[in-house]
Amino acid sequence: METLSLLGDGFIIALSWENLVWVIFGTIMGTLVGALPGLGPTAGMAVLLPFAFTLNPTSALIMLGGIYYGAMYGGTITSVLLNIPGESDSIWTALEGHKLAQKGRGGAVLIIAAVMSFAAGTASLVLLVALAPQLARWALSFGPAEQFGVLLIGLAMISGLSSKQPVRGWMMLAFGLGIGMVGLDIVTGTPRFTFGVDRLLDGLDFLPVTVGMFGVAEVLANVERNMRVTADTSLGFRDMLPTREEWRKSRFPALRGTLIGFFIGIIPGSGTTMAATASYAVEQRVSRRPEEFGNGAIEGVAGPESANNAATSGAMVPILSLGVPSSPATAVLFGAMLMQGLRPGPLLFQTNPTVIWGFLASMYVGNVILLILNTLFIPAFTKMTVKAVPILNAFVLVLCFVGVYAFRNSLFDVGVMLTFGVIGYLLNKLSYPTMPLILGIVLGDVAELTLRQSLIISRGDPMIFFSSPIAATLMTVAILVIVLPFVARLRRRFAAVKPTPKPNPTANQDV
Amino acid sequence: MNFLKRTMVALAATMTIGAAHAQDAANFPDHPLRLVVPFGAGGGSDTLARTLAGSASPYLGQPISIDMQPGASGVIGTTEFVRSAKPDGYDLIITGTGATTTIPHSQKLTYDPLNDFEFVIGVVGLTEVLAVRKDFPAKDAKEFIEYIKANPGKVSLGHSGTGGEDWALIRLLANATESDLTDVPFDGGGPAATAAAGGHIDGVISSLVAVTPFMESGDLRVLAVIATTPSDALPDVPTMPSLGYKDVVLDSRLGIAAPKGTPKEIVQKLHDAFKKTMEDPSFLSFAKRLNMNLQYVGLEDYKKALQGDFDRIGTVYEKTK
Repeated sequence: METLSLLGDGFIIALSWENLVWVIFGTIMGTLVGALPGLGPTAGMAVLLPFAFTLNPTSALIMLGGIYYGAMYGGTITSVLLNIPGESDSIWTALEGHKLAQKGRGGAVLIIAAVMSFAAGTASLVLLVALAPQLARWALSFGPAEQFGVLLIGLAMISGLSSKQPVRGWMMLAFGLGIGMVGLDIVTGTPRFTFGVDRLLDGLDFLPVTVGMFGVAEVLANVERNMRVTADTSLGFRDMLPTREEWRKSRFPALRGTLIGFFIGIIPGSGTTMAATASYAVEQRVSRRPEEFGNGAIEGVAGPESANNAATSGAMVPILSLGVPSSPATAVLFGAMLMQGLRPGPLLFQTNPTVIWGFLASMYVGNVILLILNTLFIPAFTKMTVKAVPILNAFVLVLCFVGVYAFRNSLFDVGVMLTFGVIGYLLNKLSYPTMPLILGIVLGDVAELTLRQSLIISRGDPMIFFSSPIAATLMTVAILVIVLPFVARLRRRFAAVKPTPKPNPTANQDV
Repeated sequence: MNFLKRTMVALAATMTIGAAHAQDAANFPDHPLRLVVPFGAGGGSDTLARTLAGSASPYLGQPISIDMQPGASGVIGTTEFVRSAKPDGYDLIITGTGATTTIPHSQKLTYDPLNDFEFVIGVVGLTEVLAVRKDFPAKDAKEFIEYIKANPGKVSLGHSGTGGEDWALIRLLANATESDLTDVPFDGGGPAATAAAGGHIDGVISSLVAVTPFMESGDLRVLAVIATTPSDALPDVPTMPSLGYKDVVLDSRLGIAAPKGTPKEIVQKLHDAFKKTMEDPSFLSFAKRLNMNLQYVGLEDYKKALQGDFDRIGTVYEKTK
């Protein structure tokens, strides 16, 4: 009850004119940096950090927080409409959402993504407010072995399920892990796979590889398709609204995504990409139409979008209650709190209640503002993508070049992007799934680090992965996820001798 | 006429270039600066950079953006910095870490740790500490040393990266006590301290800044300060030399450097702005809250100090072999 009244006070603070201005400013900035590849919430917040220093502590946190979760929305727009995921947690939205946008459903996808993100953001804030103190201890129980378990499940689910032939998924994962290993060994600092090329010491970053495999590969495919406009060009506002069917399909994925995202967000070292990935994998697994995944499944947008928003709330748990930032973006927030004389940690809720509750309340307010902003601009964006495909191709290429170059002013990165654009195009043609490759790069180095840490701690004894109840459960799930698809294939092969009954197509309609 | 015209043009061009050059230093800085932090989020050098960058902007007249490039004990970020940063004063890096003083002794690097930089200012003598999880059997440093001697290989200590200072100190401690310690690398001091607080490893050797939140929450206990002089923040905690291990010591200093070739006037300007920042009351109060051990050292003196650290650690590496 006391929590509620504190939250009420928080809303009074968050809804004051001054703070309202900052929350709007923060969310708009966030949408912009999220939409541009190469700029993310970390960069956006870091650039505005000195400016935030001139504000009072509450306004500063409100503005920086707005950038943080606003960026999640911004990444969605470019992912769906242009197939350029600005952040690694938008890759699933790009995969499914862009296919739908090509069918003229871009507006609907964006509205669903915005509404579900909003719902997830709000629901996970309730979880945060209610559970933060208790969950902080839970977060600490995730050591290297447990973190490796979580990552292994994520990698296994995507590799085994993302293609009709699991072997292709695993091949792509191995390729991705290999690419991720280029650069300095994370444990010993020894160069690996660099072939004496200094540029490769830094490794191949996620951004040029992904922008190449999504954005550039997409343009190449469009050119091949003769740039024909296939979708209906007379789109009214009504046609952009999601259908009843699309709403219905998105409900439960969003609910599951919220829970998955929130809890994964709390775990140190995992972050929003892992949250979105886990949600996508779960949705594909529970779907009655798994064949739709990869060809434009709205569930594959609603789930991961909810999950990455919920994960941003989850990530607040360790920072607010333990004083430990769990990602670079939250580390910037952490720094901002220190600069404002706040000491994040177990006592923060007691020592500075007005600032913290004002900040939490502003996150609700910010989510409402983002929902309104997105809905207002969606029709214009959508018309653009459907009507102007040839112009758009050029625009996408320019954005890819500029974004990747701006990332660290490196023409080498642009070369990497183009190379992977061609590789991505070829892999799509040969129907190899590209997602395991991307995830191998994004999650591979953390997975490797946690694996090696665990084995160093246990002095080489693999039983460390079963030494705690959490680790043992995670490893068991991971092994099942790896083995089951192969078992299922074997069973199908035996069953193929007998005639199999056809699945009833009407069975799906009464969900 | 033609000659005169050409001379005039040449003269005008020269003047413009000259004026532009003088103006570069006079107007510096006219756009935001970038400070590379070659370490993971939440560690000592990250916290220092964020606090300093935030407080320095009024004195510089421009904001400083933080560019995190973690990995391999700072080598990745430093290598990239030396390769790509422009010597115009807008690209700065946190230095004085293992990437400057420690790793060059054990690895072939593509940069010269002391001569590829213009050293601007030394800000913080990082207090290195030995901390253990709350339920570790040893009560104090003496008991800890007895315990590690009695249990070879059983005690695991986290550090911020193999080849770095924290790691070197663990190896030194193992040598000095003739014990077998298991060292576990993390992506910075913050993650290492978190793992120790969760009981996944027995303890850490890390900067006090990274350990502080868990010391306050009671999840970690600081047993010893690994420096010649005791820490103001921890007056009751013994130093390693006071326990009889005078070689288990590192008096490292964190600070800021610019790329080699940055104009002298600009380096001086940066130095003056950061020195004023160090005297700023709000920065002082942050530093105090973070248990930062402020130790100002400027320009050439900073380079000399780093050279001293570098040489001392060099002999340390000889002993470790």
